[in-house]
Amino acid sequence: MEINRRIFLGAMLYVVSASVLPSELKKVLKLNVFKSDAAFFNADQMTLVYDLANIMIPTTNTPGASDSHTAQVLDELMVSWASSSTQRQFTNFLAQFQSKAKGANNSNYFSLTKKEREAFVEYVDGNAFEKDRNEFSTAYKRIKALIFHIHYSSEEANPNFFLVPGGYKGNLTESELSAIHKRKYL
Amino acid sequence: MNKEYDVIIVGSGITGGWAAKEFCERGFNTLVLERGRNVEHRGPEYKDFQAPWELQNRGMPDEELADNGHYATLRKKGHLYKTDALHFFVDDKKHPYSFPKDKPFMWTRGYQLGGRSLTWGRQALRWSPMDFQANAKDGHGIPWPISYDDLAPWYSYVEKFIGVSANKDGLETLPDGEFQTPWEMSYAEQYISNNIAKRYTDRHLIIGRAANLTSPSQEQTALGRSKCQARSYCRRGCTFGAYFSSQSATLPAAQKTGNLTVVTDAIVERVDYDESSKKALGVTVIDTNTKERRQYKSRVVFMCASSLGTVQVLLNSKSETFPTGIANASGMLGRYILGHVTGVVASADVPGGEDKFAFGRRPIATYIPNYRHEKRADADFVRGFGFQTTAQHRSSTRPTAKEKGIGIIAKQNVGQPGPWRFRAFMYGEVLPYYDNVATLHPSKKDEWGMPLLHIDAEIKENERKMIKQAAKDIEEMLEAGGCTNIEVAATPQSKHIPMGKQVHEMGGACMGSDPNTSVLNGWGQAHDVPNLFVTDGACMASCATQNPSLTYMAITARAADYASKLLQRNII
Repeated sequence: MEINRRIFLGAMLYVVSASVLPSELKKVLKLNVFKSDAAFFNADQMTLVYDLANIMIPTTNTPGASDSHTAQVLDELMVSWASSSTQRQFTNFLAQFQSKAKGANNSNYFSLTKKEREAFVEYVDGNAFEKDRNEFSTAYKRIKALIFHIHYSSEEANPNFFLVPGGYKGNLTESELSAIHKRKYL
Repeated sequence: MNKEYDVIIVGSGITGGWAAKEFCERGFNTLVLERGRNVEHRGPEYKDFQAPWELQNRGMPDEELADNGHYATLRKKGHLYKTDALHFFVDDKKHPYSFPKDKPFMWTRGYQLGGRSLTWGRQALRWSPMDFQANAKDGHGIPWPISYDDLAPWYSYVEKFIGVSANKDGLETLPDGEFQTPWEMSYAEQYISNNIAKRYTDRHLIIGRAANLTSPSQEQTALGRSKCQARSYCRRGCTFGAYFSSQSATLPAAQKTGNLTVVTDAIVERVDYDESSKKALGVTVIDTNTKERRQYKSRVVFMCASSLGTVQVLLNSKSETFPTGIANASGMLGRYILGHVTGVVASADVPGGEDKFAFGRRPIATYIPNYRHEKRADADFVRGFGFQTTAQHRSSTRPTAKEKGIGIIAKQNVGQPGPWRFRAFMYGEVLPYYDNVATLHPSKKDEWGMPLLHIDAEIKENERKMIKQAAKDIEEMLEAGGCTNIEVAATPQSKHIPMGKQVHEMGGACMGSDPNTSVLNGWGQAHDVPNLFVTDGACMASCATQNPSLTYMAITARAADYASKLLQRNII
């Protein structure tokens, strides 16, 4: 299959934040719920991917995964980049993730508080790199790698990227470097 | 379309472009044949104005390509397998070649107008007198029929035209040339360079010599070229025309004369030979799209189809006189396949410089030229190696999804300035071995009916010994350079190292003085066929340690000048 057969739709996408949960509960849960299916993921899967990305790379004093629209870009990549085996691997992973979350917390993942969800993802992350060598962990590591790649290659995560630097200097002080960043050209 | 020309040039890459410019400027009606598609300079295939977030699939090629076995060679190389310039590299599933199972060969190709001149590394290094003498001195391969002095004026001629930014280092092992303003070393590179200079008289860390313009000449500006903007996106094609390529420089210069015809999508199947005149008649091409065959005639044929591409065409050019390939009376066609080998990668911290930073993406590395040559006191091998090196930016903690850690803390750890870290990659000379050979596969053909090239080449004991020594040497040099946390990784002696991995494949139609042991004379002219020239990497009798493109270009310009004089005097 030719790679240019698909048009990459990684431009700015928007989050459809729905009101399927009572507003008070939403405040506690701090969960962005998608009510429409996306390009590849269905609404539930999209809600989960969005949440995973934001837990992995939260917004702090610098942009996080929600600012860089990481979940939406990942959704598009599932269509334009992923092979059918990756598509299967990721959808299976998301289902297993929900099931494991329920097993561990005795509650649906989406009903957990933000802190509980963070704790569960951290638990999965720790197991994936320290203990488990199974399909679930392999899939988790791949999704994590993609989320990191998408966010850290985004415009939001690279405020000092210059397409046309204008030259190279290899021995600058911090203030000289800041001045260059300010004027956006060497 | 006219099918008769003064000169036919097979290939439009770094040497084909040069041959075209030289013949056109001398008034010859010149045809350039390119097997790949047309690529327009500054056209839509150039991706140099795409930010990382604008690249197709964020730079990741469609997974189905790998699943279906496409781009096997490029995938093994890793860093080139990205959507920014994938279209400038050949998919070896579509264009297969062959090698013994136990000796995989990595053949990196570019089938498009401009060939690999669009994606080359741009390190423009002269060979030294010692490099041309090596074969004769140690008895490996066929002695070079030319010396450094023969090529020196042509090096200058080429450098002035292409634009080479470099420092005049005054080294016997890497002669200086016609240079534009050099690129700056970083704090860390300068630190190591200064320290190495204190310890050694024969080892030097220098700034690389880049075919990227830093002070464009009037001639370069007139061709629409301008100063390099330090983006280091060269392999995507350069809208500024700042690095040298066929598209940015030689083909426009040739086009200006009105003497150039370019035909793309034309695979040269064979050089046609006239038994009565004992000359090349021209070439037969296969239209890539229609698969129809047609002929072009000329007074001279220049083979510039890349080392192995040229060998494939010549081997396939069979006739009564030359049943094993044109100009192969010696039986040497396809022999002495050469290349560079890397078996050592080193890295080390450079102390200090916590208050120093770098800006911009310099388009060239630093370099430690070969310092071994004939120095055998502590060596159990011949020839030598150099190192491609860099510490152009201070390291910073990078996001890694490959280890445990998510959330605020993991995020805070990203982008913290770290130490300056220097990296070095060995580049060793593979000796000319008679049994490193390319032949036509006896039965397998590509979809255009061309027999596949079968490449049977490997590194041997001399290169393995070099790797051992290079590991010792770089550790010693990094210590002398004042580095700490030195890490040296040498490829284990038992691990296979594929030829071709460093892209610089050469040989297969070597120059030499003796027609019984070589294919070409010192002008790149076939001993057996006076109007057939080979001036790409196939003509090389040895490979030295330097990046070879500048030498190919100088050889081509010199050969074109010589052939032009023969044409003017109706000798060929």
